[in-house]
Amino acid sequence: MPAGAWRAIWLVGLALAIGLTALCELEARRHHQRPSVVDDASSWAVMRNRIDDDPNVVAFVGTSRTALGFSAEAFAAAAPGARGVQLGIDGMLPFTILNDLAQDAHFKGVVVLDFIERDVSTADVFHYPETQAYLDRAHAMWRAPGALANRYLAGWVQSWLAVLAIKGHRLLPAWFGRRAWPVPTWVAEDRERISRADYSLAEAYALDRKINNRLMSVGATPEPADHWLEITQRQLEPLFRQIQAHGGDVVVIHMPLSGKFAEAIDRKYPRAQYWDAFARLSSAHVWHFRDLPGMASLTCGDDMHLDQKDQAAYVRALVDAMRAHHVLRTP
Amino acid sequence: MQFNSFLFAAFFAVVLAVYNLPALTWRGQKVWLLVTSYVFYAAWDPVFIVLVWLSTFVDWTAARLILGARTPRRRRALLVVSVIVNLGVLGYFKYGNFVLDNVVAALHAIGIAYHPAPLDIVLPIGISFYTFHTLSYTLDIYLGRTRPWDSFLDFALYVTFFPALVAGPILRSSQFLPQCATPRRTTGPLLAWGMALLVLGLFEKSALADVLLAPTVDQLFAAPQLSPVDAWTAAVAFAGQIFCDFAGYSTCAIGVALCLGFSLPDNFRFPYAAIGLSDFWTRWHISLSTWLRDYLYIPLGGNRRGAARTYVNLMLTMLIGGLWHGASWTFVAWGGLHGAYLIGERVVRRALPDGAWQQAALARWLGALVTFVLVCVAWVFFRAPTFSRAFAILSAMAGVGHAARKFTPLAYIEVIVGMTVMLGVHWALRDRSLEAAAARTPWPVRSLMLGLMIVAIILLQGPDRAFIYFQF
Repeated sequence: MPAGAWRAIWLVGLALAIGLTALCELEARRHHQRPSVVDDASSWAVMRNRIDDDPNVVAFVGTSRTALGFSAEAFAAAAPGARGVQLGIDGMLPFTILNDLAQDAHFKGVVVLDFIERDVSTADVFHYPETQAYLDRAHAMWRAPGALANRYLAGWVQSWLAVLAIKGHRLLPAWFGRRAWPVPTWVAEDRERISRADYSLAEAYALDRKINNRLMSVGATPEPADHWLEITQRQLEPLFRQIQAHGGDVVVIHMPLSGKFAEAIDRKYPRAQYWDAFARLSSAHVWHFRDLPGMASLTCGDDMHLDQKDQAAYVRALVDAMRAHHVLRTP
Repeated sequence: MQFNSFLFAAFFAVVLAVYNLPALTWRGQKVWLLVTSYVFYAAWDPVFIVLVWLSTFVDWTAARLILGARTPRRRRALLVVSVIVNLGVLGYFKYGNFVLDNVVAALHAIGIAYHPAPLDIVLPIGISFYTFHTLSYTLDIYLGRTRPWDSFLDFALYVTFFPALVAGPILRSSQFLPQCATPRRTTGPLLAWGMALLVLGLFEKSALADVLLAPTVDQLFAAPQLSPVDAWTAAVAFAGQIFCDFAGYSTCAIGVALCLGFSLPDNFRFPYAAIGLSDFWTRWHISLSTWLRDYLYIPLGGNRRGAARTYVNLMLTMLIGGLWHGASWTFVAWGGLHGAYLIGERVVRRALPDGAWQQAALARWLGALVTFVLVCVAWVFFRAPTFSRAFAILSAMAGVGHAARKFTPLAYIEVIVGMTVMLGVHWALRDRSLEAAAARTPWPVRSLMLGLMIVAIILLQGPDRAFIYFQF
């Protein structure tokens, strides 16, 4: 091996590395960057395995709306004794997860299922291979123990360093002033899979673009089939009944929407014809945010997801409704 | 477990700490390394550790029985058993689906509709590497090149030694087992250089392969149509990506082993500075090319039976080398193309007059450039998912067809600058070793490079990507 003053080389090299990383971290935080944990199937699988036969488990199953709406702290404060588990997955529909819980005879808790009308746009709501990968991971945790352990360690580091939330190669141009700093990540996630959106960090043009893209996606979604209600009812009702047969219960929540996106959904899926009709037929507790005190007034920063400052209000309103309908088993 | 993971950092810290406990005997250290090597492998999937045990047991037993066999026939029979078990396991897990697909296609071609249930086989990581470890041991015993090792513990460690377990370098027993005979410890200089190599390997993988090159490669190889510039960018960027990925892994493995007091053979020697394809194969994945040379090409007759037979042997060796990389005809085509290059090179060398002109700087540069271009062309088959994609990219490289360019000029500049620097480094160091280059570098520069590489590894966190060679 090459000769040389290796002790000095390493000491100076490490000092340089630590110093530069610290400098980048300070600079990132000065530009409002926040630490954020990367979510993946392993993180989700850990949460799924927290669900046991405890009737006080409340499983939050949904999309990014759930991931950004649920707050573990707020839930613990509002429903002491109940155990909230965040199973929502950003960008994925929740029905395969619901099916998994329905097939789990040990599950005796409550499912809070979040979906909106346009989420049921195909005849087979369970055909979602991406979600299946999460389930496969959860049901064979022992098959890849290294991935789990690495996820744990990576999550720990990511929850400390804001600079890791930025794509690193964008730092240098920003540093030397050739480009603006990357837009702060207005959504940050913690190790418990709780996401928090701070829309005050978002740049207006980026939000507008997001909202417009979403509006276009509503427009591009196929026109609701005449038998939307039949599809929804036929596919979901057996699962609700299975969960109830095991001693569990199901709440279906239409989470808050606002602005142009809410208008587009209301226009395309008139409530009386879709949601309310579904609520009438379903054996689950089917609620719409506009009917729940404390939830109707909430607005979404990007028309579809709650801001972190509203998470507690949303969870409180939901827990109040669950209490009122005797869904929660805790005092 | 991957070297570029937080888990490995924690794992290696524990391994090193316990390995160097003063109370631990040499035997205790080896037991510790063996146990942690199994943990290293099981971190991916505990089930498949059974295959490693099977491979270890079969070749340990076969080697001892071969030595004790009284007749050549019995020796050969024992060798055949070992080869069948090793290649049988490798064949089932790696080529089961491939064989089935081809049988179905062949039957379909003659009008027989056959729709078997998919085999759903998971490829155990590293199987191609540790199978070649154990196979070489038994072959060496059979060929009388070495004697069976006395210690089963040492042999099991040779098969499973975690730095080289899942993606090489492919070890020979003669390279590793003698090192088990004498006690080893982590020393200051070994740790310093070993960790420096680990940092260099991680930098190559995380910063260069995954962040600088992989996104361009992924996007271009997935595009339905490419302009000539994009097609060449794709091929050249992949040449850089696969080098940084695989050489990065090998550098990490060598560094990690060095920290433990073990020496692993070089696997890469600045291959993009090769002048000619035969030179390339003495610099690229050296442990595989020498394995194929020693256990396939030479037993087939090598170059001892005339020109025609030499060409056949070369082609067969390269085709099998291609198939070793993956169960797909595109890998076979990649190997076949390299076989054709090697044959072509021999023909050209025979035709050209020997002379001082071969050592002229211009001739050497030109030779290196042509070699690099040919290697890039072959990489297209290696990376493209199908032949149709490969031919589409090659057509675009030849200037056939038109499509809009995919990137902003800055993205092309990134690739061009990155690859130019890489080729420059390869050329500058082509006749030297990394150690020699490091020794000549002033210590403040070494510190600076080390510090910057560590920062880059921390900050340039791309999406989690496994090392490409894990799938082989």
